[in-house]
Amino acid sequence: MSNDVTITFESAYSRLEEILELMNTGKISLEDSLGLYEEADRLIVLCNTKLNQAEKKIEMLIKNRDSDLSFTEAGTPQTQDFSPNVYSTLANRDPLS
Amino acid sequence: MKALSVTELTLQIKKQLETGFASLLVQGEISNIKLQSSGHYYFTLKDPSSQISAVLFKGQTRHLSRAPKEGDKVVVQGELSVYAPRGNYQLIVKSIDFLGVGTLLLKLHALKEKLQLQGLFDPSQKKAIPKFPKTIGVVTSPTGAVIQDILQILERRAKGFHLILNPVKVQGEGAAEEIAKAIDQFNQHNLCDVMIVGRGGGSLEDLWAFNEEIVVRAIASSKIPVISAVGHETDISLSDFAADLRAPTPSAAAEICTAEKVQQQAFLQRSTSQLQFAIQSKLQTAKRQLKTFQRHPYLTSSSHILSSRWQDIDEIRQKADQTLHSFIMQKKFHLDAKKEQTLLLNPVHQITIFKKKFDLFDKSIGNALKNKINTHKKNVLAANLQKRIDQSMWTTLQSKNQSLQRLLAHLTALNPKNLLTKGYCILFSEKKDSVILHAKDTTLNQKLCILMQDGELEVEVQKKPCQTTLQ
Repeated sequence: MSNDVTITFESAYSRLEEILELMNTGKISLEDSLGLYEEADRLIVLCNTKLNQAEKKIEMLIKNRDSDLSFTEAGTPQTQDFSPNVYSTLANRDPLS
Repeated sequence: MKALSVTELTLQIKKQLETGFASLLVQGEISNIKLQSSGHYYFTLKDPSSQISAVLFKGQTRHLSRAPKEGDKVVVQGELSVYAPRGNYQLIVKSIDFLGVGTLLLKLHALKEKLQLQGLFDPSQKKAIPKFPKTIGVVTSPTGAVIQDILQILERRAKGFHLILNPVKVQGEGAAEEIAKAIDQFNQHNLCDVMIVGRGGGSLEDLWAFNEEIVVRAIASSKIPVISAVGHETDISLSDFAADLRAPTPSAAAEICTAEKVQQQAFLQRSTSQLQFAIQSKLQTAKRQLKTFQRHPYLTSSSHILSSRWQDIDEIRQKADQTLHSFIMQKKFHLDAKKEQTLLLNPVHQITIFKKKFDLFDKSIGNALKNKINTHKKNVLAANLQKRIDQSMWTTLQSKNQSLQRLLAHLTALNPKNLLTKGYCILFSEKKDSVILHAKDTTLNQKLCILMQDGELEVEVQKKPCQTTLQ
């Protein structure tokens, strides 16, 4: 399992495809099948984790009147969390947009 | 100069006209419009001083926002075509833009052609949309429907995602500049892997910012792949041509960004069930096999393992018995034989045997003797009988011989030649072929022959009977 951390999504994915094909041929011994099954199970979990790894994050860039970005001290553009609902209620009040 | 046939002339005109006016934008007013049952529209396009016939085929009508009607002021896009059978030329209309917005449209088409020539819409320049964008940048209004649609799709299809909104004005004064700047900002700071640029539906004027050169250029030069999502599916802006991919709606744009992820999630899910199925069927097979083994006679009762051994033992025992039996029998047989021999060697028994033999011998000698005597007796009798037969035979032979002698003497006496010795003679005719017995059988002077005892005489008849003389 400790190795799994270093495996990339792509290699895990292709290994999973390989295992599925092997399992479907039915030429594998029961013992090997069980080993492969466990491996595949780990790979599926790994892939799922990697797929959904990104945390949900919705940001909006902070801009001034001239629509220029403002920056943090580290030099990255400043953002604020964005919640569409707040703006949609605002939108209802704002005849311009 | 050679005269042309009408067809030749028409063909030349057709060639020149159709190649010379292959792509046209023509402004005018629709009149005389007719919708044929085939679904094609036939009309005249006119302005105050000229007119031209036009055809809109059924296939093109579905791209129109509404059906054309009498009096519509339009800009049509199409090509010139010569209809040879009637010798007239007409516009084959590909699309119709209804005016009001006519001037904008003309501007739009002009800009499109210009940018196209500059290669901004070149398909070979299109970048691939990343399969797994980590961060999705969106250039749109924070208050519009687009960002809401996008977020809705992303939340439904992807558990985790990172979205950065660059809020812009999407219409009105300065909107185009703001949009172009936002696109550049994303690129400058490399804030995302893919960018969705768009706004919701509206009139041509509403969407106009996305047809502005500054926006189109910003999209075309973006290093980050751009998905355009401007207006409804039927609205097409120049941004759409410049973008790396045009999404028919903002939701579709979000779907495109997550398509691969969703597909892979589906694959993982499918894999899970496939794996489970595979392992389960494998286990079931193994279980079934195990059960079959368990039900095997060897395992259900010990007798099955031992039975053959038992049988083997029985067989060996039987064989041993047989061997022993035959051995004993053989010995017994030998013993019996010896017993018999001893019995035979007993003197009393031997005497009896000799006696028997002697008796037999005696009897056979007696018989032989008797036989011999009998034979001799028979022989003597036979000899006597022979003698008697011989005697009677001899007597018979004697008497027969005598009577034969008598007959012979008698016969000799009867021989005519014997008579000749006693003075008789025989008269023959001269030729000696016949004996003459009667005188009347002779003729006068006939020569005759007389046979005597010692020879023949020749004579001649001198006299006939009554003369009865013989010479």
